Amino acid sequence: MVYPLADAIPQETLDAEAATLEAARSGPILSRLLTYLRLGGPGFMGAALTLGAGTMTAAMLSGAQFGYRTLWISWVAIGSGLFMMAAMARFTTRGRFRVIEVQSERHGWFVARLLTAFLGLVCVSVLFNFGQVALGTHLLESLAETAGVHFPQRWNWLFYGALTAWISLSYGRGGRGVRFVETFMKLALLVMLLAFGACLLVVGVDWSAALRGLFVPWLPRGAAGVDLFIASSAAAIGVADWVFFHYAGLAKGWGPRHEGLARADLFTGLALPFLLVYFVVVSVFAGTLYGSGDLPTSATDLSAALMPLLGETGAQFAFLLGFLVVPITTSVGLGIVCAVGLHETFGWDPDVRSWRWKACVLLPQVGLLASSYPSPLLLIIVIAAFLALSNNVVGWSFYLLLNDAEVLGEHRSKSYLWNLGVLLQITLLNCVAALWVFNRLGLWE
Amino acid sequence: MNLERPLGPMRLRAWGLLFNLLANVLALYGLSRVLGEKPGGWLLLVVGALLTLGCLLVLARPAAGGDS
Repeated sequence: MVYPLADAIPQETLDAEAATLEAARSGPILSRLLTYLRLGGPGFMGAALTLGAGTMTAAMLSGAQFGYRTLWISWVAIGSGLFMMAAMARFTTRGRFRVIEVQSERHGWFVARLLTAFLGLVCVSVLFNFGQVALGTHLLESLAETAGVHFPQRWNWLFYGALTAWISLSYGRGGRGVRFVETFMKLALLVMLLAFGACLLVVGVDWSAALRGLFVPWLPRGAAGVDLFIASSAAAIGVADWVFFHYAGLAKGWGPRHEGLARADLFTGLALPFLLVYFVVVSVFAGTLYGSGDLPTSATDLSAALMPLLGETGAQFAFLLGFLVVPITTSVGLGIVCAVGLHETFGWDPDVRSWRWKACVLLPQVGLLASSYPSPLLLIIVIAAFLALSNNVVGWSFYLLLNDAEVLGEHRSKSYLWNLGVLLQITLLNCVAALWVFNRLGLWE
Repeated sequence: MNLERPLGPMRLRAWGLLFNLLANVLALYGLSRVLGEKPGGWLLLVVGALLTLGCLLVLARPAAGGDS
């Protein structure tokens, strides 16, 4: 096996999976879909990771500020990102290599170890966990209060940290651990959907406005509209999502016969849950806070403003529960991302039974400080700046690997459309970098 | 055009990515001038957008030959 997380998955199991996939391919579409849902996993992990505090805040703000009108950006964003994700699936199933290792050989340690592994995975996982913890512990306190229990942030961080650390560490316990974490993520996404869906039943949907928002592009006028489109399209799926999907596939022992499953997992596991949850959250806020004047900008304040508008205590409880799952799943994913990133940064062999692996998984838990102290804003701004300036370079590197005959041989991209899709996402990331520089130079007002 | 041909330290395909970045910057700079109602913005925007389109259409061509 090329990645030690897959050690515990016996070859017979992988062969049986491949045989099931072959059989499902010739079966009816419903049974094929159910097979993909059952055997998929990395896609669901990716959806749970990307649906974090940041994406949720963006969805809430979008609904509260613009109603349904910017819904179309969500499927454009996820759609353009899927081409790069398909490249990662190709590296996993046909290449069967650790992509950062190969990247390092072909494009140097600076792009591979520093920009991709350290900046794109480690820094992201450690710093972005502060936001998840701040939101998660706040929601735990609010949820407990709704149930008449006092469970303040200064205590509940222990529960939050223990739960997320335990689940993240479970991932390293062989095939059963991988399946356990994947099942947890699938159930968590279901809870999000059911909980937010229950709120939407209370609020109601303006279907004609929603359909117009989904299919008729609209942006606010001027530079704000361009900013919104570029930032939203490029942020939905980033370097951490690309690389995490690849390594999560390696952890499942995926080989050439799993490529169809990997691609299906991108649709059923990543894109569909992301789009559904995003749609429901935008719709809840479009149906309540839209047009109500001065709006708060943080997730906690937005959810507090929503509470009285939901009316029913049950709906409030459902919203808080669904919302609590958001940072928990992201914190779990960030622990695994950090461990993979640190091991790839230093070229360590990822022995999941070692204390080093466990320490790396637990490193983002430093974000638990956010339950009592403000998040390190300056550091987050600096890292976000580096990310804005470097994500496109990582994208270039993966595009070149996908077209590199010496790396993938006959399995390199032979599709004009696939390359075009990858290049469109790279162009969006180039624009993010350019806009960051323009903003600093005062050229983008 | 063989995009896999080495040209200096990199393949032509990699140079194409750099050229695409420059075209993106040009288009965005033109857009910033258009939005700020400054002169010359439309020309830069159109040239940058056309160069971007050209880069994408050329770079999307898959590598030929070299199967192992």
